[in-house]
Formats: sequence, structure tokens, C-alpha cells
Amino acid sequence: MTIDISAKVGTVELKSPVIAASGVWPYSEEFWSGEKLDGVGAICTKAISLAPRRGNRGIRLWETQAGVLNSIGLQNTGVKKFIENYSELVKNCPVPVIANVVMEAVWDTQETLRMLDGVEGIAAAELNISCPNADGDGMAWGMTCASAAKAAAAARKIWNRPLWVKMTPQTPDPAAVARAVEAEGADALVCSNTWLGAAIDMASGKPVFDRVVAGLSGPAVFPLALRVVWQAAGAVKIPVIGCGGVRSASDCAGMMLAGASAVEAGSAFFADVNAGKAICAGLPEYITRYGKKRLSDIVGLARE
Amino acid sequence: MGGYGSAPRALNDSVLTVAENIKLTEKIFWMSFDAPELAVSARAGNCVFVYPSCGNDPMLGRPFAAADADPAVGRISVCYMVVGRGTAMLSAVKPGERLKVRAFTGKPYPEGAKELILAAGGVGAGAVLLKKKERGKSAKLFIGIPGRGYEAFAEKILSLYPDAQIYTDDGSFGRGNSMFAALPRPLSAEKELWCCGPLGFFDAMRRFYESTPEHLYYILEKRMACGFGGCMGCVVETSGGPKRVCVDRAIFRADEVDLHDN
Repeated sequence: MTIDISAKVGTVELKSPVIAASGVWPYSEEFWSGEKLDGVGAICTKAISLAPRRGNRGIRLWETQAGVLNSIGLQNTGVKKFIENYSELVKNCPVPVIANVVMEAVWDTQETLRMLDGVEGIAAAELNISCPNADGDGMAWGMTCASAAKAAAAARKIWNRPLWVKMTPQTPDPAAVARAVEAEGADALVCSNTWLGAAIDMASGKPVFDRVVAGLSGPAVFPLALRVVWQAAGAVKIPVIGCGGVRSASDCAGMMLAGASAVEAGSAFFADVNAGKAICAGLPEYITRYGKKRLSDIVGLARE
Repeated sequence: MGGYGSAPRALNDSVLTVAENIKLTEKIFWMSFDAPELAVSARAGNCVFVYPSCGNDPMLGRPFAAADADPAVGRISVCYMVVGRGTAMLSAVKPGERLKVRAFTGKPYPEGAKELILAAGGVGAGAVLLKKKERGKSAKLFIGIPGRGYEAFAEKILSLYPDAQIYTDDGSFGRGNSMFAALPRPLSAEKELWCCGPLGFFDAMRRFYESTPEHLYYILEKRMACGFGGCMGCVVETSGGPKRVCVDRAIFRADEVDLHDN
């Protein structure tokens, strides 16, 4: 029996449900074609802001129990250089490319989206209203319904292609924020970004990170992310993408049973560069277990 | 590749058999893997991620320089120090056990000057040994170690490179208690020094070669998550902009980086 593991997020069609999350996939030919894309349904670019960002100083990574804290700080070349350097990669990529856009000041983000509108091959924009690493930017936008709605509306005004909004798990009411973003015209929700954490270096007795706080990802956060997916998927009609600690076919299928239409995997690629392929290989077992032939048939099955 | 940046070619994950895991000092180990293909392709500057676990915890690989590659016996080796949970797990691995490995990351070093001085402090030796193998007699190898308790470490290096010059802080063996008494000065375009070791070692080198920092090179290590240029966790700020140690390069001119602001 042929099992169909393709997925669909609104109008964006994916040959597999595993999307490389923003911040892990390098801009290099080897990773944008050929075997490295086996099992990868789409690529989210690294964060794109209007102006270049140098990123955070000091230690940027700290491993934790079944996870990793990161404080990269949205390092990127800015949208102008992104277009100059990577337009050809995007255009020739065999899987959909999702442009991850930093929600900065409204005008800045709108300008970034205007510039990206000229890039052929971008399947959707993923608006980052949740990054915990930038002073006063991403964190604030996703915390409340009002500011999340304002961010989504600002992007929607400019961007006519599919608009995904990547939520912050720090918000006290994910369902309400999800509804607010949906009401402003978002086409999908990504649930969610990293979880704010911190670490003390026991050798120095001081915080590891210059900014003290950092974003936690990895298998440790999977149950937390699954809970956000459940809450958001129960609150909106637009597709939800599960993101947070997805490492295995079981995790992927679990997110989809909870209502996700696809998943994003990030740190899974740190542990296994072929994580997309490995996850896809295990999916048919979970689809047939519930008497289905298509992955899309198990979306939300746990809610019935 | 032009503006695309770079990620290593032919990087992949595989499960390899540990051929040996020799305790050289209380905390430093020499681990070899049966890896015939990697032994042929290894170049100085390449890096190997060794995963203490195939499960979720710990999740990340430990990045080590390829310290040796021997195509004749089909092995690659790394030299590592136990500094935390993951390396403690590695230190308990027995020959015959299998570990997940990501290889190769790390951009091969440049050829270097006609006359090359390789200087390392302690476990930093792992980052320069393969260069010594590639350059043979045109590279001089200086190793500084604490002394007592490091006898097997020194023997390992001398077994590979009998012309290596070993110096011990306590003067208990080797050629004296400081390599700085023997390191040649000045450096020049024809005579470079590449070094790897703890921060204090780099600082001492910088002071010693104060007048010629453009010919002094640091080989740096950073915390890494992916090893293929994606996560930006290992970025070093240089006068020429940010560089990723995992794929751009691990070797930096002393006058292009501020080690105390990175």
C-alpha cells in the first residue's frame, strides 16, 4: 500500500511535512539541492531584517538536558545582501522556500517585505513575532493579542503571498493570540519559537549569556510545544505548524494528531543532518496505525 | 560558491567503531575510529563531531580537530579533554563500541609559510598535529604541557613526531620549562607561527610576537551545534567581519581578532 506523506499548509504544497526551521539551514549549494534535501519539505531561511545585524556577543550556545540554549541574536546580512547573495539559491531550490522575516518597527518590516516581494521562488513569509533574542523587538510583538494583531496586519498590508506568523510560547494565552493573528489575515501559524531560559556557568558562578536569557529548543521542549499546538489548533481555522523539539516520526505524527498540518524541525538537524529523511521514513507506520493512507488524514485525529 | 558562503562538501553523519580510547593524562584521551574513507580524505583543519549519545541526551556532537589520519590502517583520531558531561561519557567508551560521528566539518588550513612553527598548549596539540604530518620537516612542532602526569601524552606525540619539542611547566621532563626560550623570532612572511591552546597561551604568544602579529596565527575553537554553517553559534568577530569557525575557517591572524571580545 502506498502511503502519501505529502503535506499542505494552505496553498503551499510540501512533499514531506518536515520543514527546516529558521536558524539551522546554511546558505550553501550542498544544502539547497541533492541528498541533503531528502525528506525536507521546505526550508525556512535564517532571520531577515531590514538592516544587517551582527548578532550577540559572548557565548551563543549552551547545551542543556536534552536541549540547547541559544543566543544568536538574529545575525544576518540584512535584506539587501540577502537578495544579492541568495536570490539564485532561492529561485533554484527544489523545495518551497519560506522567508523568515524579523518583526521590527512596522515601517522597517514592511520595507523588508516590499524588497522580498521581488524575489522569485519565495513561497511564503514567516513573520517572527517571537524571537526572544533581540532587544524590544520580537519578544514584545507576540506577547499580547493587540500587538500580535498589529504585526500581522502590518505584514498583511504589504505581503500578498502566503503569510505565516511564528508565535512566541511566552504569551500567556496562545489561543487568543492565534485568533487575533488569524483575524488580521495570517494564512498559517507556527507554534512556536524557542522558550526563554537561562543558565549559570557553575565554574564562574555567573550567567552564561551576556543577555542572561536565551532560547531553549530541543527534545526537552516537545511536550510544551505540543500543548501550544493543541491550544492554537483548537482556536483557529487556518493551518498550524508544530515547532519545538520534533526529533522523530513519533513526534511529527504526534504534532499532526494534535492538529498540525506540518512541522518545523530545528535542533533535530544538529543531532542528525539527515533528520528529515529519518522522520519521513517512520511516518507510514503511524499513518497506517490509525487506518489511514494519507498523512493529511491524521491531522487533528486526536481531537475527534 | 561566491556569495553563497560555504558549507563543507561531503559532510555526513555515520556510525563508526571506536578502535582505541587511550587515557593519556587524568583528563586527556586519544580516540581513534575505524574509518578508511575518512582517513584518506582528512586534511589538517578538518573537524570531527563525536556524539556521546545516539539518543536525545546529550543531543549535540562534540567538535574535535582531526588530530591524525592514517590511510594505511584506515583510522582517524581525535585528542580530547574531559571538561563536562559529554566528554566524560566519551572517556568511558571501550574499543569496539560504536559512536555517531559527523565528518568532516572544518575548512582545511591554508598551506602556510615556507617555514612553519606549530605551537600548542596541552590538548590544543590536537589542532596542529595533522598539519605537522602534512608538512613534515618544513614544520617545527613545539608542545607545552604541565609536566608530571603528562608523560604518556608526551610519549604519544613523540611516537608520531620524534622531532617534536616538548616543554613542561614543572621542568620534570622535556627540553625545559618554557618553549619561549626556544621559539624563533622574528616571524616573517616566510616564517609563520600557528598556535592553539588556552586563552593565556594565546596571550603569551601575542606578547612574545608583539611586533609581528600579522605572522602569528591563532587556531580557535568555539562551542558548536551544527558544524555545517547553519546555526551561527561559533561565530568569531574579525576585522573583516564575522566568521564561522565550523565552515569559514578556524585559523585567524593575531591582528584580526580580539580574543577578549569574542
